[in-house]
Amino acid sequence: MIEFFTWLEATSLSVWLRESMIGFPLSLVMHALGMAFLVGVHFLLDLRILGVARNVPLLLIQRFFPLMWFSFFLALFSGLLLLLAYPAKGLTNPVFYSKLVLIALALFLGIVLARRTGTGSILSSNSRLLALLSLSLWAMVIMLGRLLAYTYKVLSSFELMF
Amino acid sequence: MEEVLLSFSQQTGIYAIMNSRWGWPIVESLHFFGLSLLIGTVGLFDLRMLGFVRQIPLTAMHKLIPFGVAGYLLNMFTGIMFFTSVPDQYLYNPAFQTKMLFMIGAGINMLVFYRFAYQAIGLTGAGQDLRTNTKVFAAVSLMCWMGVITAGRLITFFRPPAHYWCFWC
Repeated sequence: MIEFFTWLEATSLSVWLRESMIGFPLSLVMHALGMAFLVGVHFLLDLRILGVARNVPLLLIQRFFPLMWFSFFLALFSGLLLLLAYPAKGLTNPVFYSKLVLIALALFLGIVLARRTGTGSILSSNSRLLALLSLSLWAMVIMLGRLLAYTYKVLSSFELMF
Repeated sequence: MEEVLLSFSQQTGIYAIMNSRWGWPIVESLHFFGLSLLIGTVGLFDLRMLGFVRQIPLTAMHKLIPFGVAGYLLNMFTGIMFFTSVPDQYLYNPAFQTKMLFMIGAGINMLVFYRFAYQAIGLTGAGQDLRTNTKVFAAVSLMCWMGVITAGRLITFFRPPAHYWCFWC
């Protein structure tokens, strides 16, 4: 594993991300903007299911999903860059894996809820509970992401060798 | 200036929270939550104004705005918690000052929009599009909020004293 981290850290892209003036900050900005629109669209769906802005036709919220997916891939792409800059930092931190699991759950739940908007079952109280769960999952994803900057054990593979 | 802000933070107990083990990251998480709520409501309303998902009536989308205001207030409050706890790291920070400029831009744009163009929202039903000069407000709003996020995320890379802006000094 240490060899793998060392190899990743030595790739020219990883070195550039760490040493250039713009590589890391630019990746962070892309990650924040991607997060805002990714989570924003999910919040809109959840709020609407919970009864906010009832005159917004539920079926039409899915029309924001191309924007949601674009933002997801922007966050994924920039997230991979952030990981590549310091592979040992994220990959040795359980918080990182927890965040990935919660993202998968939250995305799956969002897709299930969006599918339901096409059927009558969206108005069940069960859906409202799931919308609340979706809101909480995204809130936890945000918090775990933020905690990554405070819970890492090592920055580089070098520190793992002793 | 810094002393006043710092003593406000200390006397209100904010300083103790921000310097506790998990205080700072938890308040940051709330700040990111508020930002996502703001973009998910105000940002998507702006996109509808620009002609995105035209089938949704604009008045219906406007019902989301109170939640955007809630996100804004949450971030105002959490933002003051950061700002007053280490005021010198923000006051002279070029990225922070740029962020405040974008905030002022978004604020003025909003005031002018509600004063002069808001009636157009009520007249724009499902499938209808706004006139181009009304769409300008939505474009400015989106750009200002994305500018706020961008400059905000860059604050940490422009810390004084290595970086230092002080037009009033």
